[in-house]
Amino acid sequence: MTVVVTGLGAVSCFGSGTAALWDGLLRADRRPVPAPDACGLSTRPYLYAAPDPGPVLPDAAASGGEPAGRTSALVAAAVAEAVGDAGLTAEDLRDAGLTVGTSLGDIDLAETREASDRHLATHRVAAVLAGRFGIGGPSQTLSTACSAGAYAVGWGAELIETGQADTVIACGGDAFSRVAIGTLQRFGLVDPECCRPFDADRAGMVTGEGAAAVVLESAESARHRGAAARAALAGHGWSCDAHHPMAPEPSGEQLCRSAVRALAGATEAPGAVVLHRAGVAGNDSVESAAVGRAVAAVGGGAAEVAGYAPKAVMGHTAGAAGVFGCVIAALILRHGVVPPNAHVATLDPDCPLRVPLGEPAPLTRPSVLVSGTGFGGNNAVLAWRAVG
Amino acid sequence: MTVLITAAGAVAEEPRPAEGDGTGAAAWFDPAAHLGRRGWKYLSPATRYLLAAGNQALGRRHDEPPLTGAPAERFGVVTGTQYAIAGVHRRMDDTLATTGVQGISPAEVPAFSMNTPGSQLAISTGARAFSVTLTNPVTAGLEAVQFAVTALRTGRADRVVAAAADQVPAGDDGRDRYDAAAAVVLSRDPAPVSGEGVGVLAGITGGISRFVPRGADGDRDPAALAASCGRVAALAGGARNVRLVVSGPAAAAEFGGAVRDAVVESLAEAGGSVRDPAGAVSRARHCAVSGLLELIALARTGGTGLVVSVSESGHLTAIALDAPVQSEFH
Repeated sequence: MTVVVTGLGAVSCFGSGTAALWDGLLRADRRPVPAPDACGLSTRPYLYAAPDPGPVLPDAAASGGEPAGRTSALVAAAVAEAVGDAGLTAEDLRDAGLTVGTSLGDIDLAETREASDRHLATHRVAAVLAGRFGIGGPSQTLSTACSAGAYAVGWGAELIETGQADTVIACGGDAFSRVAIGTLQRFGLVDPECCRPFDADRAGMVTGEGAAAVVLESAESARHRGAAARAALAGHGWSCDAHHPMAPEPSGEQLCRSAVRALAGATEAPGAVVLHRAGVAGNDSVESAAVGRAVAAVGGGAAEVAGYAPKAVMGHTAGAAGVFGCVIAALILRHGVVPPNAHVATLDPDCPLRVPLGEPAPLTRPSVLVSGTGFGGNNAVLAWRAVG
Repeated sequence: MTVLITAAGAVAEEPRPAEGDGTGAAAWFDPAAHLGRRGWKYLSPATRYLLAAGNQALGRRHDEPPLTGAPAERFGVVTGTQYAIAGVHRRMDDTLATTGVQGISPAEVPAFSMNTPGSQLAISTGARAFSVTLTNPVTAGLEAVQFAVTALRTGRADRVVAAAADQVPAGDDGRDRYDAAAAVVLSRDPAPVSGEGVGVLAGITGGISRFVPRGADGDRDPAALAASCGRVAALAGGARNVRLVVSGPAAAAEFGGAVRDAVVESLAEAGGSVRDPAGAVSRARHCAVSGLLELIALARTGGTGLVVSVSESGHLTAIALDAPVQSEFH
């Protein structure tokens, strides 16, 4: 069974909407801003901040009286765009599935100014969304750390492939967390300047806020509704390093295995790879080497495949990152170009992939791989191809 | 294809007097008895519980080497939790407010990720097919079973541990709720299910996950409720004397009761029946582990059963055991 994408949605540091996202990626000049004064940290770490998404409406009915936090509001905005883009009606959503990738959920509810105001119901994002949109089918929240979004899309496809839903809203989101920033700083994982994944002198990640959504559908369902397919899922693979709670396994064997599985049906190497690459040098090297081996195994050299790292201009959006990767893959397929990689003074000499710099590069073959990795060695890779 | 529950394990704190202040909350669990003398000091309580339940289900000691090679690549872990990070998040937030970033212990940092209990189980056992963590409140534990069954069907693994673990947060949020972890080992088996087969607790014949939204009046949408419960009842295929267990927290008592009534009615319409149609909704006191504990209890009882886990938010997940129908997933 073929699973296609019929709707896209995004809220990022570039503002609301996939048009703003694509424009920002092409401009390739966005840098992070200091976190708000009220963040509760003595330093003001850099952040690729999203605009205020406004409240989730209608809030009372949506969450059974529980407050919805910033992540829920961001994801609701992305889902609203994707549902509108796909032309789904309330009737269509009644049996639709919902898969949400989020690392910390509505963590702002637990990071209040006064400790007595803390609210621990941080992982009700799926309930808030399902209530807001009347999505009545299978509904899961996946928290596989930074690959949560990639798993949300993959699990959404599994629900369709096994007949548990015809349509699935797969989405992801995460917002500013002072504890997340604090712990990343404590581990020396934060670049004090900006996120520069392809620069040889990169010094860590920079967090970003945002949410992204895709409407997944069986090709038959899309045809039946007369909805245009934006991209088709050619394959997806999962694996776990089972190595260390935070660091990737150095050989990248398991990540490579999931990429090989995603590419199992491919007859040629993809035109581009949207990498997880976040500016953490060791992780970046493991990923590009593993993905490079997998695409080379399909045919042709890895150097013929464009590597793209969107986190340079939008930060690491955690649970949203994998869904953003899929949205960006669909946009690359639609426009036929790969945005230029940003913030590169000295190019990382170790990346086996071609690294577009300066201006958009033509997409040479109509398929794009999306790679997601996370703490715990949780790997998920998805292969998308153009439709028609 | 039928999925078999080949083994189960659980550790669960029993209800304690309401006046307890929670300071002795972990006294019920001795990590050394489950995990040996070393290697668990920096693991969060939820992680320790999960390792204990997972090892028990797998029949392994904690210090045994993990799987490697092809068996590791065909073995997966899926974990449900809702409070895995609640305690450590609170502690770290307090530390940031007082001593700042330098006050955070690096050894404790991994505990600040919802997936860490599951990842530690994957590392310990060598699960390389996947390690996925699900975090919907209450229902995540039973969702882990549904996820595992689906992954077995699509060939992503040959054997999966579906598990859940939670440590109840301190204060009001934890009132009348208790720590626990549970795990079941699931495997694919094309052979007909036999509840009496060697090493088989029960067969899983179907599963379903739904969300019942509220209508404009704030009540659960009756049409959505009826439709979802009809699908739950269909998992039992019109069987008679079905053991039905609906499990939900106190805040979902009304919703749970409505689910129970609607499932009983749908089963009757299909010519089936429930063993105890007037039974009460089981109180989910072990957070996201509750549904899995009920499933294990039902699997050990035998016969055709349905376990339904419901949350106050409107999520419901149902798993059917040993029903006399072919596997169905809706």
